[in-house]
Amino acid sequence: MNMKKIEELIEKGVSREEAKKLLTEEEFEEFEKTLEMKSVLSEMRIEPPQDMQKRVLEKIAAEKKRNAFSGGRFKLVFTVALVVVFAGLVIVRGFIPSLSPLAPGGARNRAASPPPNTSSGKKGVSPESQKGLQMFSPVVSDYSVKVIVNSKDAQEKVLSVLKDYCGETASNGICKIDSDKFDKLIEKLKRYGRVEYVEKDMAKSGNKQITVKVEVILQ
Amino acid sequence: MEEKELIERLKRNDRKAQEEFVRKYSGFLFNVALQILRRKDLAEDVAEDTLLIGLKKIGSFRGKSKLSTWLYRIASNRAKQVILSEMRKDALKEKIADSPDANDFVPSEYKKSGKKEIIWKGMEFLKDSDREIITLVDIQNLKYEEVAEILGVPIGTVRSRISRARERLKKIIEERNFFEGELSNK
Repeated sequence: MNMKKIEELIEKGVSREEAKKLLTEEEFEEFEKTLEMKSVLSEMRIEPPQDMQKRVLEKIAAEKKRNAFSGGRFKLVFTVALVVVFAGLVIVRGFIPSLSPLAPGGARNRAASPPPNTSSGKKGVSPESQKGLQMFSPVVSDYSVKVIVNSKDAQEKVLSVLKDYCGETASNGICKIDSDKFDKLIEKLKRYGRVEYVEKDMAKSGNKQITVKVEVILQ
Repeated sequence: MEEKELIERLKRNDRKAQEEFVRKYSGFLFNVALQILRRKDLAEDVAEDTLLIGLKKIGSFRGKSKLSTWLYRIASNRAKQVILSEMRKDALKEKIADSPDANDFVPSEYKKSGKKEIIWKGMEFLKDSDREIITLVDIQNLKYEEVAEILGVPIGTVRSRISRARERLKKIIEERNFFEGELSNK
């Protein structure tokens, strides 16, 4: 019996009548059996439960909602964190004068005060308390000063002040000065420009002569 | 909706496309899983999982095959995992074949028709590969080209496999008097 021939006829969808002409009696019987079986098999497709489709769609919708929420929450947290950090920076930088480093009495300008244990002896930390400070943080006696001036004239004057106070040492931007003259120097510099930046650089406590790095910027 | 458009819209999380996707493939996946697992409840779970995986992973679908091929592979793998993890294949088969409650596994839709029930039970004795090809060609009514793509074999192999599988099934159901009456009346 030629099964391949029977399969070919089934695949082509040949009718019973036509197949009867092309096949032997035995082959035709097989052909019919196969067709019968195929016909029942084709009806064996079962529809999935109705609620299955609904369930899948609901799960997907719920997941989408959850993702959107967690994404949104992340954005919210991120934005709040950003605002807090920004607000912190604004406060520290100058919106609140008492905390501003540039404000009189502010963190940075406090650094411009005469170093402790100086001959003036009026400002700064007492030697006793300075010892205490040294235990926790280095006491700074070197300074970095930025003077911003608006004109050439002012620049000349600033350089002249530096020369007066620091002598020849001012030429390379490093001013060696007695610590009790530091306050005065800053005051004089403020007359001709904006002393924007005063920073303690490194710890050298108890020196009578201090080192100040000076930068004059013409704007 | 064309398959390409459907895929694009699914990638954009389009609700209507998702509905169409579920409507279009739930029956296919359910029946594929049913013939592998031989139990409606498990088949439902696998079809549901496959649809969810399909929707979630559609972004990674590169369109090199048909969507049905991709989904078939997911469902088939998932069904095999279920067999292994939940009841182990041999235990399941044994239970279906020998248990006095074996009828519990015959879907109610088949109980209405004696012939469907005979085929359902007869298919249990087929090899997995025979049942797979009969499911795709005769139950799902897919073209040989599509079956070849799904199974990753040439069309000629599909032809020879289906021929042999039908032959084996015919022999099994013949012993259960499947062809009696109907054919003798003709």
